[in-house]
Amino acid sequence: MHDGSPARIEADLESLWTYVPCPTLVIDQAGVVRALSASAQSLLPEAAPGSRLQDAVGWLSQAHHRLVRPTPVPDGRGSSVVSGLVGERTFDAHHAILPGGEVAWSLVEDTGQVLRQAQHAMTGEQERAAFLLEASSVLLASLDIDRCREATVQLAARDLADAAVVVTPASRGRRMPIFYGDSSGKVEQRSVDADPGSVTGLSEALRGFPAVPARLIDAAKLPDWLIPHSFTRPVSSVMIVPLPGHGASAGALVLLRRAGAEAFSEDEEELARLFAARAGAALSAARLYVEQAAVTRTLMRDLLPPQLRSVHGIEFAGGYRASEDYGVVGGDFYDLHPAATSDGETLVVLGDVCGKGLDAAMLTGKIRNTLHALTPLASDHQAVLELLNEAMLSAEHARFATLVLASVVNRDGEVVLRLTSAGHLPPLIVRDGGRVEQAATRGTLIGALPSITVQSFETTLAPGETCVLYTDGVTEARGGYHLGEERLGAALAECAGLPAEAVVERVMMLASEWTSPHVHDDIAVVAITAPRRTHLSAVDGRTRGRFTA
Amino acid sequence: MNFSLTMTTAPRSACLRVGGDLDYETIDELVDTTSQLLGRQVGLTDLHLDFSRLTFLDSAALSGLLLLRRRTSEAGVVLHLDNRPAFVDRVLQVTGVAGHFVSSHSDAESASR
Repeated sequence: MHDGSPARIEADLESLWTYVPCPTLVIDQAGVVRALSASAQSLLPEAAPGSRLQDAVGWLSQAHHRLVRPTPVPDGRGSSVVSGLVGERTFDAHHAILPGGEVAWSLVEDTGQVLRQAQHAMTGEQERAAFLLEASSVLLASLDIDRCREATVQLAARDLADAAVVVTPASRGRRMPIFYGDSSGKVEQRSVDADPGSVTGLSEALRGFPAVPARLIDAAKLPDWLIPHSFTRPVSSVMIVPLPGHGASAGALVLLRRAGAEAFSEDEEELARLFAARAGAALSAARLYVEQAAVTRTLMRDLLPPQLRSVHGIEFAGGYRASEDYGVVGGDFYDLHPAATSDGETLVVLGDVCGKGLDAAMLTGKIRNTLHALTPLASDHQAVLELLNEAMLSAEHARFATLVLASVVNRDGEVVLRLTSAGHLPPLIVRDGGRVEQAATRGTLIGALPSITVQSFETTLAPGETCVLYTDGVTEARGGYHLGEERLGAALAECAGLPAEAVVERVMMLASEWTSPHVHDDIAVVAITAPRRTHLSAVDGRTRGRFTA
Repeated sequence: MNFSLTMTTAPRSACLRVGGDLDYETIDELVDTTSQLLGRQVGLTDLHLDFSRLTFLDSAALSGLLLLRRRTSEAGVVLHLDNRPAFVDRVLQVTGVAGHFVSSHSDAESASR
C-alpha cells in the first residue's frame, strides 16, 4: 500500500534531497528506509533505501516504532524530541508524519551538548589555572625547604592524584629525604637508603631529565619505599616528573593512583609538569636561602668577639653591639691574645673593616686569623702590621681595615702599655683624677696601600687608670657631625677610677645615644684597666682574691 | 642626599664635581666613570675631584678613592682631591692616607691648564 508513495516522493523531491541541510530519512511503518537525504547518507553510511533503520541507528528505530505503533502511548507531548548518539555526536530527532503514513525523521545536532562540552573544557582550564595559582602562592609563601616539600605533596595529593611523593637527591651520604602525602592531607617523612635507579624514570627525573611517559612505568613494580604507609596497594598508575631547580634538580615528584582510578590522561600529565615546574622553582629558592642563611650563621658565630676577663692582674672588658640591620655582618671586631706567662705581653686587637656584608665578614675573619698567627711577633707592632698589610693587599680592590694594637704587661702593679694605631682613632686614656688623654699614635690604614708607616706610643697605667680602644665609624663622617668624640672624652672623665666593665658599660650607653642615620651602628669597645686595689691572696692573678681598701 | 657627578674635561686635565653622599651605594659610579675616563683620555696628567659639595663619605667610599688613586698612579695621572670639607680632611688624617692625595684649592685654574 505504500508502493507508490516512495516513488512519488523520489520523483517529486529527488533533486531537493541533495540540498536538505539536516540529515533526513523517510521511514515506512515497518521500519524500512524509503528515502534519505544526501546529508543523512554521509552521516549514516549503513543506511540505504530498502535497509532497516534498526541496523543503522538503534535508538531512532526504537523511537520510530513507539511512534507508529497502532495505539500510541499517550505521553502528552505529541511532538516530543528524542535524542541519541551517532558516532560521537549527539543528535535530536524531529519527526513529521507524511500523508502516506511514513515518518520523516530530521536529525539536528544537539548544539546545547556541544556548548556544554566547551563549557566543561573551559571550566577545566579555569580549575587548572586556579590550582596552579594556588600552588604558586602556597609554595612561595615559605622559604623553609621542608615546609615547601610538605606543601608540594599536599597539593599534588589533593588535586593531581591519590597520593604524592617528593624524592630529593641524597645530599650527604646515600639517604634520600622523602616526603609522602595522601588525600587526607597528612604528610609522612622518611629518610631512605635506596637506589633510585631501580625505578624506571626516577633517577632520570632526579637528574632533571624530562619525565618518562606514565604508561611506560610498571605500577606493580614500585618499591615499598616509594609508597606512603597509608596507601594500600595495588597502585593502578604512576607518574614521575622532575622538579626542575635553578641549575640543579630539586628532586622528583611521584604521583600514584589507586586501583579502580582512571589512568593519567595527557592533560593530567601536562598539568603535573606545570605544577612540578612551580614546585621545583620554590624548592630551589628555599634551598638557596637555607644555604645562604647557614653561611651567614657560621660566619656570624665565628665573628662574635670573645668574652674578656682579667689576665695576669690586668682588667680587660669588651663590649660589642651588632648592627641592627638584620643579616648584615658588621665590620667591627676585637680579640685578646693572653700572654703565656705573667711577665709576657698580652695582645689586644680592635678594628673596623670597611664595607659590609659577606665581603667585610670574609676580610674580618682573615685579619683576625692572620693577627692570631702573628701574635708571637707582637713585640714589634710595626712588623706585625706590615706583614698583615702584605697579606691583605689585593690587585682587584682596595678594601681596608683600621685597627689598634695594644700590648699590655703588668710590672709591679703598674700596667705598661704599647699602643699602635693603623689608621684608627687613637685610644683614650683616663688618668687618675679624671684627665682624659689621647694616645699619641698614628699610622696608615691596612690593606689598601703597598707600604705603611706607623708610630707607636708607650705609656703606663697607674692603679685605677683605664685605656679605652673603640670604633665609632670614624671612616664614616658627615660634615658638622663630630661623632661624639668630645662627648666620649667628657663621659670618660667621669669614669675615673671605675673598673673596666663599668667603663665599657658607660661607653656602650653613650653609643646608643649617638645612633644617627648613615653612621654605621655597630660598635666595639675594649677597656684595659690597672686594678686600683692590690690582691692580698691572688695566686695566679686570675682568681679574685680578697681586696684591701 | 642626592648624589651627583659632573665632569668637565680639558686636553690634559679633567675635573669631576662630586655632590651629595659618597658611600657604599654611589662610590662605584665614581670609580667606573673615572676608570673609563683614564682609558679614553690619553695624555691626561691631572684628575681633580671637587668635593666642595660633598656631604658624606663612608669607609666604602674611602676604599674606592684608594682604588682610584692606585689606578691614576698606574696611568701616570695625579689625583687631586680639591675643596675638601673638614670632615674629609679628618678622615684622611686619622686613616693616615692624606699624604697620598694631592690637594689643590684652585681647581678652576688647574682644570684650565
